[in-house]
Amino acid sequence: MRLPMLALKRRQWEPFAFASPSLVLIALVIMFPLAYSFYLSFLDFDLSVGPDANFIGARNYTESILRDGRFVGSIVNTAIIIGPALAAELVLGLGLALLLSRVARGRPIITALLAIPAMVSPVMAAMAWRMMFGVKYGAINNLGLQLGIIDVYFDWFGSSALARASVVLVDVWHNTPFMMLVLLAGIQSIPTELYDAARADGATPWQSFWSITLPLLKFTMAVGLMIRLIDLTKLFGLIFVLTYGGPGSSTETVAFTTYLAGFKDFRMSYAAALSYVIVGGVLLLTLLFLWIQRLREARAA
Amino acid sequence: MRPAALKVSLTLALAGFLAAGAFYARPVGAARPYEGQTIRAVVNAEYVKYSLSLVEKDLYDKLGVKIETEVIPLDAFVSKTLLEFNSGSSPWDLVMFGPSNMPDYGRHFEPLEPWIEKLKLDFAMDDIVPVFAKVMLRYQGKLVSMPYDGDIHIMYWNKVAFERADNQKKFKAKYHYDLKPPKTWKQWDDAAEFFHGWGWDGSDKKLFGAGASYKPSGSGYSYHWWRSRFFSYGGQYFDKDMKPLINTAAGVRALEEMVKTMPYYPPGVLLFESEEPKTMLVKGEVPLLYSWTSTGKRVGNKDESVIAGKAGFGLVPGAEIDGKIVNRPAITPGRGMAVSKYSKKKEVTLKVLEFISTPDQSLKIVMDPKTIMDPWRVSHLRSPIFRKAFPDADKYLDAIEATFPYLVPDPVVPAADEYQRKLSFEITEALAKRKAPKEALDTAAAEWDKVTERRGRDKQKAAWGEKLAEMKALGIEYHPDWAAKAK
Repeated sequence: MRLPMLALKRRQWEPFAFASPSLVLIALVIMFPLAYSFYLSFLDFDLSVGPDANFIGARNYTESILRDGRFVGSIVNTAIIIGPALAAELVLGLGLALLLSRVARGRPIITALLAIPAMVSPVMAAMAWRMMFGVKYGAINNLGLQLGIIDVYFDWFGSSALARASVVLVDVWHNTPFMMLVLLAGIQSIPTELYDAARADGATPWQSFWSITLPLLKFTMAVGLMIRLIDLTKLFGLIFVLTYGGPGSSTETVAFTTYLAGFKDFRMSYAAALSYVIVGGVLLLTLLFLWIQRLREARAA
Repeated sequence: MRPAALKVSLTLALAGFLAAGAFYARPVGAARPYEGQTIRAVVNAEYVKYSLSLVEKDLYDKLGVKIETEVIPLDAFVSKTLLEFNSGSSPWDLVMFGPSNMPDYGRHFEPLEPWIEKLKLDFAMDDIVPVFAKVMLRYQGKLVSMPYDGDIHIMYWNKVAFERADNQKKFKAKYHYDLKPPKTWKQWDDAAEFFHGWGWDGSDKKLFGAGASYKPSGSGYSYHWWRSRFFSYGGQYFDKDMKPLINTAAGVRALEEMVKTMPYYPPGVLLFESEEPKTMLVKGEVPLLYSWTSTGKRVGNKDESVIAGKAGFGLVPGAEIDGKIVNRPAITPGRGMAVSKYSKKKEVTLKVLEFISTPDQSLKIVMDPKTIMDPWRVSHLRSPIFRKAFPDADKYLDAIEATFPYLVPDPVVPAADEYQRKLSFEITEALAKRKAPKEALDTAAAEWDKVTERRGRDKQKAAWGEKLAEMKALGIEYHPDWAAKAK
């Protein structure tokens, strides 16, 4: 009588036992820091003052949203960088993926070559571009001087608009290959019979793209965009190396401002609160994105 | 061999053996008392690590000690080291730090005086430049560090630009006074405007008016460039109650002038740190720069400089107040070396600190152009070797010495680094034309108030009170009327 019960219990606990090392690890390195930093965000822990901290409720959150002009400004900057970067990465990634999907020979090699920028670490990419954009010794300015296009060094970060455009350019260079790979996988998963049928019905390539490729790629595009959106809200290394948030604060992103609060001003609790404001913002954006997606699907149905 | 000859040979051999033994054995025991010990140092740049390597061999020969040096980049240095210290520990024995951050670091340093007594250490205190000895070495009255880098700003100019007859003629026609190295900010701004955009060296190149570093990284480069003007217009950091005075007329005038003259500086100046304008000066692309004293060694280095022997050295400009020029060059901020309170090798680390601070060893460090370390001992300035190290080195060292009586320190109170960064950021906002100068400085003042509140107003006020007295003793006081009457 007892054996089947024991067996049943074993069936219940066995999966947890096998998964326990990973669960413990996740609890230690993800859940605990998350929970602790959330708790920290309600204190006034300031490492520059000392180890003591008091509970101050949601004051850090209200300060960040209502009274910290620099953080609010960094939200605007992040949005200004994210918008064009995402659009350019999507359009270019889609274009490259479509071109690659038509390449019959050597596709793996060409794909690997095109994916090289994505394999470079963000900091290395930023350093390389910083050298390219360099005022005096930068490749771009020197090429311009030699070709007679410019007669004096050009400052690629001299104004807010230029600096933001430069950041977007580098990010697009660095991350378009990711979008290209995601969309290429999506394109390759579309059954070829659909294109054959469309061709038989006399559809032009443009009509095939518009009526078959694009609708069937929507989900893949949404996933790609969401991953990049989350990535871009964490934009830090590129800013730190390329512009240091400047000129002025024009390229300060939310991640950069949070770094300054935590690791320059030592306001650990405030930085934790800023992190949760960012997480909340990304969560909201993602939910909004999914809701729009579902709404469109429902309308289409 | 005859027995006599054998005896002589054996005696000689024995004597030689004993002599050799004595030669090798004696100095090892006496000269390397800490043989086999390694201490850990932390510094903020590769060139500082390199500077320690210049004394490594002698240090090992004398004490038998090796230094393992960790480099934390400048921008992350204060936060990372203080993070360690504030958590009550430190992996380092010897610590390099910015003296303006002494109020934050000081409690983590080992007081030196008890050890001076105990180990009979000699730091040659009388040889330290008085202004550095006054403002860089003590925490709550206790001696805790030695200078390592005597950073101050002096002015450099390219004599070709100022001495060409054609340039002098054109300048006089435009500004109605003689072209000379500037003594006031007005003359500086006129010169920058005059030289910008044409080949003042006789070439057909489009050269620039003046150099500067305006990036708000580190402890804030733009702040260092602003404060020489600010103080010469009668400014002061805070009043006695910790009310910020940076947004007063002196601050606004200084910043307005910087914003107005932005077009005469090289493209990219908003992201320039220390080295970019120095390079432009030594390559003959800017005729004027006020910058760190290490610049002079690059100016004199013929391998890279086109102005070696053709450069002038002098005081950073000031403001003419009631017919007298008031100069307020900056201590910017220098480097000190101290022994961590948490070190388990205090004795040997103190011996190392004494050794690297000796006049001879420190001279090696400050003379080498690759170290970017600057003189901080009187003997450095008077050294016959240093004074002949490169063309006009004597004039360069004299200019440094002439600057010492006018120097203005940073606001050396707890959170000095944060005050400076917040201000530097707002200065850059104005330079980038994202805010009006007054608005930027008002924001900076509000940020300063927030920092003061966080740190505890009474505590900050007490710390500032001491510094205010110290600055008063240096002749630096708030003059609200100077900004209006300065010429």
